[in-house]
Amino acid sequence: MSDEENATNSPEQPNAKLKQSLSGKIAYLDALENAVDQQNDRLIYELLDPERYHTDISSTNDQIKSGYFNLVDDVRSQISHYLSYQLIDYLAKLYPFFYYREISEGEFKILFGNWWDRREFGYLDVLNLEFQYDKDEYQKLSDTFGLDANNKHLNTEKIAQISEENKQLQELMTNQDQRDQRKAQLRDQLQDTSNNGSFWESGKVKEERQALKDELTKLTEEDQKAVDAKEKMRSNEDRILALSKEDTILSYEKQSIKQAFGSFEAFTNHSKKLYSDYLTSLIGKEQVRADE
Amino acid sequence: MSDESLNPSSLTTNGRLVAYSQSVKAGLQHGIEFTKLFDQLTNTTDPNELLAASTSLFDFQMDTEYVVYPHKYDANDYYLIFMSRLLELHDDKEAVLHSREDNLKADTLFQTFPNIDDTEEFHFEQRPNQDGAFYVEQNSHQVIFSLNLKEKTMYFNSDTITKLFITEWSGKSDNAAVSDAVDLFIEFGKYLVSDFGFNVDFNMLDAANDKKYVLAKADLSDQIMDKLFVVTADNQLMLQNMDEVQGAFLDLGNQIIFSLYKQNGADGSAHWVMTVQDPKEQYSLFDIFNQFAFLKKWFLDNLDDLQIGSKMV
Repeated sequence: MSDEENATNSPEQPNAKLKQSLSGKIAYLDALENAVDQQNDRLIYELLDPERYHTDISSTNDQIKSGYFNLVDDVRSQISHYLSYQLIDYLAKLYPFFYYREISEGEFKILFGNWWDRREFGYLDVLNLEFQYDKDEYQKLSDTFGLDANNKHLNTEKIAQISEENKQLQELMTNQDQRDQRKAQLRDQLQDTSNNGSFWESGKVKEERQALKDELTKLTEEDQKAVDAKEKMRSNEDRILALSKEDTILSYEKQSIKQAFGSFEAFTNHSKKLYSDYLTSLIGKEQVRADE
Repeated sequence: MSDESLNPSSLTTNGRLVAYSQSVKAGLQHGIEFTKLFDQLTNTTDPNELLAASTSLFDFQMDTEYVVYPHKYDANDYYLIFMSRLLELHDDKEAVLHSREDNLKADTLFQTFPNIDDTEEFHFEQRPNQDGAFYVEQNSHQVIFSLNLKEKTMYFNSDTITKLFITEWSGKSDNAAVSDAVDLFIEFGKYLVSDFGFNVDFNMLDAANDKKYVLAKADLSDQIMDKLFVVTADNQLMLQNMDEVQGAFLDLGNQIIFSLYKQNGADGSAHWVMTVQDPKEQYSLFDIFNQFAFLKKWFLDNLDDLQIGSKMV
């Protein structure tokens, strides 16, 4: 008989191992329950991900073992919901321009600002203490800061371009009379050249006639554009409004970030450090409480 | 007068002569009753007597079959006299009542506001199949408000307030003068409420904080709000999102808050409303349009969508 078989056959050892596993789990759940009872959010975060906690916050407490979090997998959203209260209070002071909407239990959308039609800016991952910014929206804001030095907005050039197009369309519409006159003139000239032309038209006359025809075609094309101009101008105005609105929103966002952080870089750097910043602040609070 | 009992054809000659005399007397007595009411209208210092005289005169048929008075005021004129006298009783003197000689009847009466524009003349008009009278600007026939002394109602007309005050008058004189004239109409409405308990719809002129200016159109496109958003930013203000309802509000400074939002009725209907709130309830929608040029421009540019509904039909 091998040692292994011996071990399997002995009733005590596997029992002890099992009991150890179970008591580890019970201890974990007890600790989590106590932390919730005492509203010790710092400890909850430590229990949720001990490895990250030890790495980022470098606590000396190594009693807490990792690998238990899947025990509470089915109540993740409840834990997230619970933790959001203190976290959002904390965030309100540091990121006063962010608002959160709980779209389902424990799941939070970030809204940027309190202005009209503020943008959705991604999600707040409460359990992992991470801002998950929407890539497109984040990029637009980043670009806006990039243009700040030139005193430009994201859509300044597009708006100028569309405005110019509308100006030309307006001209096209106002020049209708001129075009009509010119067309009448051209038709008269064409008539003249055909009346006066001999059977053997000279190349020069042919060229002249072609030039007249070309101009007439060009004017007729412009007429058609003028007919469509009104519709086009209206849709251009809609586009300008949409772009101006986006610029306005982005400039409010930019101002908010400048006010709170000074620069986009500082904002980004802070956002990345949410885990350590928040837990450090919780530790600070605990110490204040302990000292009192 | 009972015409049936005095049917002349059934009487003797003498009886007919007596009947004639009685009919003339009755016609003259009717005229005397008229002058009593007329004197009451022009002389009384008691608002209730003023209202009673005006209401009676408005429906008063002066002529009878036997006595016809050639010089008469229009029924509408009694409303105008009523308005002038009520203002006078409250020491309001901005409006001036004028009379113009008229050979066909008594004088023609009209009102002007010398501080704004002497060429604009105002009087009351009647409309077919509608009770009461309508206070109008004579050239344009724009109705400023409807008045019904019998039903005790006064309804301002938002359409005219927009056209006449916000657009036409604002070019002619300074905002303060226009406000004075408008204030006078508001004061008149307030006297109607305080003296007689009238039901007055001040419409855009109502400065009460709980006044909801209901938009005539049920739907409002997002673009209207977007335009306001962009233009407020250009004016160093910020249109803010309302959390509880679909809508937005604007802090105009001095604690004046303008809001535009969708209000859902209990019956499932919904309409858009504007509100103006300030601590002393001094500002109406009309006032903030006059004070903030960008808001006025936005309102007028999008009038088709933003016109305020009116109780006046």
